[in-house]
Amino acid sequence: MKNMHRPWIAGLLSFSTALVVGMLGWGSGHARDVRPRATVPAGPVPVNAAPVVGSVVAATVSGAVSSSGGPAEAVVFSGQASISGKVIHDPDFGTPPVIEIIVDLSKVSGVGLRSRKAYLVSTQAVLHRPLLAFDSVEVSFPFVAEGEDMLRARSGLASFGIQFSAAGGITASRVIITDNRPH
Amino acid sequence: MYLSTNVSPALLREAEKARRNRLEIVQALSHGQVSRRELIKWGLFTSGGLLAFKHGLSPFVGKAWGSDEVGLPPSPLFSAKPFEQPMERFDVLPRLPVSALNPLPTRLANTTLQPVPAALGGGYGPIEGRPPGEIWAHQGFDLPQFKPQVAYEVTQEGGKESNSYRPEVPPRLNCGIDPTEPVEPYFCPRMPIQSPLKFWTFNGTFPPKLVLGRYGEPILFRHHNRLPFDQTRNGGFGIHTITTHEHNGHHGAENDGFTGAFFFPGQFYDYHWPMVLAGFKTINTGATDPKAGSPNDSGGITRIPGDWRETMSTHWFHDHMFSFTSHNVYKGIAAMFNIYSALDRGNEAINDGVNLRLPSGTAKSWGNLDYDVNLMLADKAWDQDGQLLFDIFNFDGFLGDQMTVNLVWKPFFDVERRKYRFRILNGSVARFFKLALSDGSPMIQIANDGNLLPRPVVLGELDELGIAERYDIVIDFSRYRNGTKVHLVNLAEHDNGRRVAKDLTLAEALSGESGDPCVGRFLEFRVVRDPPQTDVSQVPLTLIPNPDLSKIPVARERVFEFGRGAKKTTNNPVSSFFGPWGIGTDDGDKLAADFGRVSAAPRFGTREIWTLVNGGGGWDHPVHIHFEEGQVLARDGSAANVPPWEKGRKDVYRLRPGGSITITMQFRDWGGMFMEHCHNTVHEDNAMLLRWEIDDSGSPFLRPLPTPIPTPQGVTFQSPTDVLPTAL
Repeated sequence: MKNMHRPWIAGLLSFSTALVVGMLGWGSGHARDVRPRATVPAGPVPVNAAPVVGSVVAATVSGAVSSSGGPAEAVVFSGQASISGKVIHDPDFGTPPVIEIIVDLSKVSGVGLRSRKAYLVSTQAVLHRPLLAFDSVEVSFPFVAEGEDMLRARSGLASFGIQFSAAGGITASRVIITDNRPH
Repeated sequence: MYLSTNVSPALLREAEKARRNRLEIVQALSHGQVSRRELIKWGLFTSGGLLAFKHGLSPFVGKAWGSDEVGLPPSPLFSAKPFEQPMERFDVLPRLPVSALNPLPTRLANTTLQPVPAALGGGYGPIEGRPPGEIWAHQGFDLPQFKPQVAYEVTQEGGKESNSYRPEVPPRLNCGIDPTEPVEPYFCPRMPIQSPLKFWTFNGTFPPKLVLGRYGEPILFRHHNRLPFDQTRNGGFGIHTITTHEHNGHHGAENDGFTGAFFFPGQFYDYHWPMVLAGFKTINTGATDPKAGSPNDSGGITRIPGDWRETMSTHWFHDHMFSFTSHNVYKGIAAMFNIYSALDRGNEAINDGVNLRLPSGTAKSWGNLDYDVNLMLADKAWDQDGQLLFDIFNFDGFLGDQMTVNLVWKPFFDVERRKYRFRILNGSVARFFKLALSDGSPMIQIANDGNLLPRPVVLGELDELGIAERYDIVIDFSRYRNGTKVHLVNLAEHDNGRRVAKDLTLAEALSGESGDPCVGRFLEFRVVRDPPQTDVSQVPLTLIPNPDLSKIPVARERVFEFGRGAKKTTNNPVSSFFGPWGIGTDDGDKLAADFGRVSAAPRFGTREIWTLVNGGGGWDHPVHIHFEEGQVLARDGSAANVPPWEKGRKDVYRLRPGGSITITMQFRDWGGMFMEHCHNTVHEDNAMLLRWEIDDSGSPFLRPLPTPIPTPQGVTFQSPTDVLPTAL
């Protein structure tokens, strides 16, 4: 069997001179036509060379993380999440668009059910996912009682839906907070 | 990309046949029997960068028996099971007196002649591969503060058994591994030993190497090239010429591992790492600031000049061979470098108001590794014989189908119930990671790339970690009971090497349903005991604030666009290369790499603002700018878009698909030619790389600098092939 395997490259080398020499170019075709050109800016200028559509939506947050035993009390969360969605197209390869989601929970806070302590959330998450008409997104987030060492941070799970339509753009559903128990 | 292990044997055979055919092309390319240009002419590489969809060659051609796709055959596991093998910690390179080097290092390249083997053209050539003359002389070498005080001497050679493993921690902190036992070059004890032609590691051994250095103690790093003289003895990929980049050292360019300053088998190259704080020529020149310092051997601080806010911590060093970096780094030319300072002492007990007391240990005055663990993540693939495999069948980027940590396949690591610092390096070719703990517990990110952040950031999942990026994190295992197993999980799913296809939720990643075999659990932490001593380490609320650049005028702004459709405008056979990827500078055409071309030449001692633009939405690029750390000013034009973990200093900037990032950098202290490139090393090799230089700081520099052209018989110099109109 081994002898039947004819090296590809040997064959290529033998007939290469008979091939027509083509144009050398890695043209990406239409991509150049649709992109605004980068210019030398007068200051730090936003430049996006690929077609993008973005928007930021506020979403109401509610839910609770239960006590995990010991001193870890249940915490009820509320506030506003900022959810930024950016649709990114790929004219070069024509692959389906993706959405860049930036979740900011810094305006969400919690209250300890037993102690009435305030709990702070200061997380951001950046996600890239295929653009769908509807997608369910989950993000682990840390929280810690105000004034406590960050090493005592616990984690919860923020779940929400992202809807996209050509007419309506990006919308997000209410953000639900639950226990983070992926195991 | 990879076939499931459940597909039919016929399909697997077909996939293996296609892969062998492709590997012959890769091999011929690496042997110099055929050029990439010829492959394009023959229609094998297409204008889109893909290997032609030919039956028996491409993995994605429809089959006669009706299958839609073939895909790549999965790497066999030889009955190995995940998390059965311990993760070896890095192998610490011994510190040597400089006087131990023979010959002694010299300011100018050592051009003593030696015979050159016939395989390299015969005749005579210099023993050192560093370009000769004043321009490539070690800057500051004869000044007392930069004179090398410690030496490291390493070889680059094929994989072999190690009998001198130095983890520098007791076995109980290294999964019980007895360092006196030989270490074999395999990914797992159940897997075959790697051929010396497949793996080219530092000193030829496993595990990967670690240098422990400290500010104010200049290092002479002598690197011997002991790879085969015969270019064809490469196991099918890789090239035997090398150049070593200390990523991201603030050193003179002669020590930066410039892509065109490569050296040949039989030669060495002396890299001089002066270990200075950036700004040493203008800031704290009297060395009076206690935060600007080096840990001494008695637990105190030796003060040094420079800006303490420029203190760096976690580096790595790797090959940077022009157009072959992806091959050579994948073959094992990658190591890590921990830098210790007054602030980041590597001793968690010293309480002097300067030391940040990060998790490390207490036994030594500096550089304790007990609870400070280097992790090098890299996806790999191997053939049916278990031998390392590399496939450049397209230019999107190579993805392996198996996860390794410190070159061990899906290992476990024993931990105590206390805080650990992990210095995580993405050492892959094209794969991004996104990390979380399997139970969703928080992690504290303390550093991004080489730099401690202004403030720690508590995260449930880390941001995507691009190739060459480093995240230092602290995990507090005191939250777990003894006997607990918790895993590090990869959430970033790829279906090609261009970018992440989908950042999965933790539940999705743990479900086992992803088609990407590198998604999910890949490192098991086993909580095995309480620590024998109280954990006195800290994670302070303030780490290292950014240098204040607001009063330094901006001398210049430049824009670099990274994308496809590069033009090849120069034809030097050594310095220029051809590929689909390129970089456009200041509204100019996107150009394929040529290390003879000067694309930018910032003035010595100035600050500039650079905007890096992703020219498409179908890919991401982790862009590395050599020499000095930058600060991120904006993403997509807005400072508000910069996340907390990017608010420190960085040296690799992920553009994100369709995104842009604006940074500011200073150009000071040293001069010479440096690089800017995508660190998806397949993109870099094909040909998304440019040269920039600091060339106006006076003699011996010239404006522009001549380009080195190495040969085994000596380095010659040529005028630049091109100087872009906006460069100077």
